[in-house]
Amino acid sequence: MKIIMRGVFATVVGIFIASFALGQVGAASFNQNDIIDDPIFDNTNAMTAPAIDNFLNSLPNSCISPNNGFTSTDPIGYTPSGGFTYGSPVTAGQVLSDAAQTYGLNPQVLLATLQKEESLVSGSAGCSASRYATALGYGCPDSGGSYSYSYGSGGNLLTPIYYSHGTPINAPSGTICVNTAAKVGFSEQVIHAAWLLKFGEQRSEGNVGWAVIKGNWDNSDDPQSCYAGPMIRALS
Amino acid sequence: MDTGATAALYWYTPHFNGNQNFYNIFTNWFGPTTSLLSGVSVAITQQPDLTPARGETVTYGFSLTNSFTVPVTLDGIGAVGRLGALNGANRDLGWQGPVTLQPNTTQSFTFTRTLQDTGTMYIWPAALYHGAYAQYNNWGSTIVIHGPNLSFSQPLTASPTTVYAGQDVTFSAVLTNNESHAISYDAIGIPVRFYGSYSYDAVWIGPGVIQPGAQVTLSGVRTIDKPGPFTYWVSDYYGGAYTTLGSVSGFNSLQVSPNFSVSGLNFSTTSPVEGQSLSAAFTVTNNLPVGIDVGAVGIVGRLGTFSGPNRDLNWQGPVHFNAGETKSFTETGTITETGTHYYWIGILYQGAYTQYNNWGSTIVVSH
Repeated sequence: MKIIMRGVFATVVGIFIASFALGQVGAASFNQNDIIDDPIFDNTNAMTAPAIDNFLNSLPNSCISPNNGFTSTDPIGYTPSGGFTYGSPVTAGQVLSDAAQTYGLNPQVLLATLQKEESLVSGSAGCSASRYATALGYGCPDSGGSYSYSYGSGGNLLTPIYYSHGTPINAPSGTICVNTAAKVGFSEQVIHAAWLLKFGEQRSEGNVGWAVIKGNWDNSDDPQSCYAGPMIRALS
Repeated sequence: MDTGATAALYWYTPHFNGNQNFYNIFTNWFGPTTSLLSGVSVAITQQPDLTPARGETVTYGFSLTNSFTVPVTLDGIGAVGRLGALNGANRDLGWQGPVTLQPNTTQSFTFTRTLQDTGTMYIWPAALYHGAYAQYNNWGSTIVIHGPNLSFSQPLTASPTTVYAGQDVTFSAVLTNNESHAISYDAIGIPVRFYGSYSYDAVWIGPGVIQPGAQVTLSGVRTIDKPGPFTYWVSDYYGGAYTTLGSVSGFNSLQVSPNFSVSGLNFSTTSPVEGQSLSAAFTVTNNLPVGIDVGAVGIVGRLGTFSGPNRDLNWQGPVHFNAGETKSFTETGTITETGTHYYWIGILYQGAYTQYNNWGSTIVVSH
């Protein structure tokens, strides 16, 4: 698996020393060196697929809620030679839950990232096709880029970027920053992002052998993949 | 970076603002992103009795303060209890939830449990958050539970002290709670065992609570229908376990054997003639403290000698005698032969005759 980053990690992060003990009053606000703890980041059980769908349905303008007719193909496997594979369309909750369960990630992390990147969770920025195509900003470097993709006869996309009330929706042409066709679309973005977030966590902690290999998931190419991100304090 | 998760976010989005945006979204929707213990602090508001008795209800209170800038909804808040060791058997005082702690506010919680064990027990606050438990076990308490101090203000007794099979026996005792707290029990009673195993329990009461200094009276009657060894004691049953209070006592129930006295063998005539009807009146007294059933009571009659031909006057039976009961009998027969007749009282019991021939009489039929 090849890593496509949004840019080079360049943010200089100051050192913040916090000493917590059980029962003591601790951090009450944003800590740039401890944005999220590993146990919460890794909590795959934080929300089930139905719980995610219920949460999305509670947001009336959500672009990806079952109530608004959203479905997308279910990520069902990966091989080093064939990349990710996808099944039948399912709800966003199922896509997010399956991706989170596969890579050991809290699905709330994916929801927050979805909202941060394209606001698809709340729908506050609208639900244009280009937002689905780049749902989590994966493979969309800050250096920019614009690519044309199409789905269907002669197209280069593996699947539609999502389904609206059962109708496949194709990618808009000529306006997408995502740098390869395999990463375009809601489910494609979710599963790539889930992998990258978990991969980054593991590599920053020095776990160079980490790879998910189970059932249809063969990420045996992960240990050979390059990581150039930050390390945790104990290893830096 | 303090955590691998934070490093992953920066690798994914190498912008401070982008990650602060992620943080704001996450915390607004889902709560804190850092370990619960770093932002929700605990303070003990009520310590339990550190040396309680089994059956005592202990109370443990604490408060939680949310110092996060966002509300924290906990799936559960509870007081963990573990018996014998920190990873011992579950004796949690209780749980409640979900509970939402508003930012910069403090909420108090109280949990109680009636102790069912003896020994050391560890108690500490805990919270269930996103499927994981936050254990505030450095705020815990260690309590040492002893058996309740229940003494006999009236000793355990069995009355009567000499027991015959078939006799009703009254077992009784009075207990006093010498603890400074109320003591709960599921049941308190006087078990009675025949040959150490067959139950003849006399009395059980409960569930109930004995207030400090208060008494509980145990009294029950049980028919001891078999001869042999019986044991009895006072037992406190609570939390699925029996505890013996005081010592075990016992008695041997005695086999019943007839113990009668007879009197008043009076005849309607002492010189009847052949063909005359003869009546004999007498009384039989059961001298046992228990009732007894005999096969028959009658007047033995013999012709010519004490071992002569059978000329019994009459028998009736079966007959039941209550404890100490005296019964009157009149047996009547017809004299059919001349000569000397010998009569005395007889009792048939379990196939054997008891002959009361020292109360016998000689009747001579003259003609």
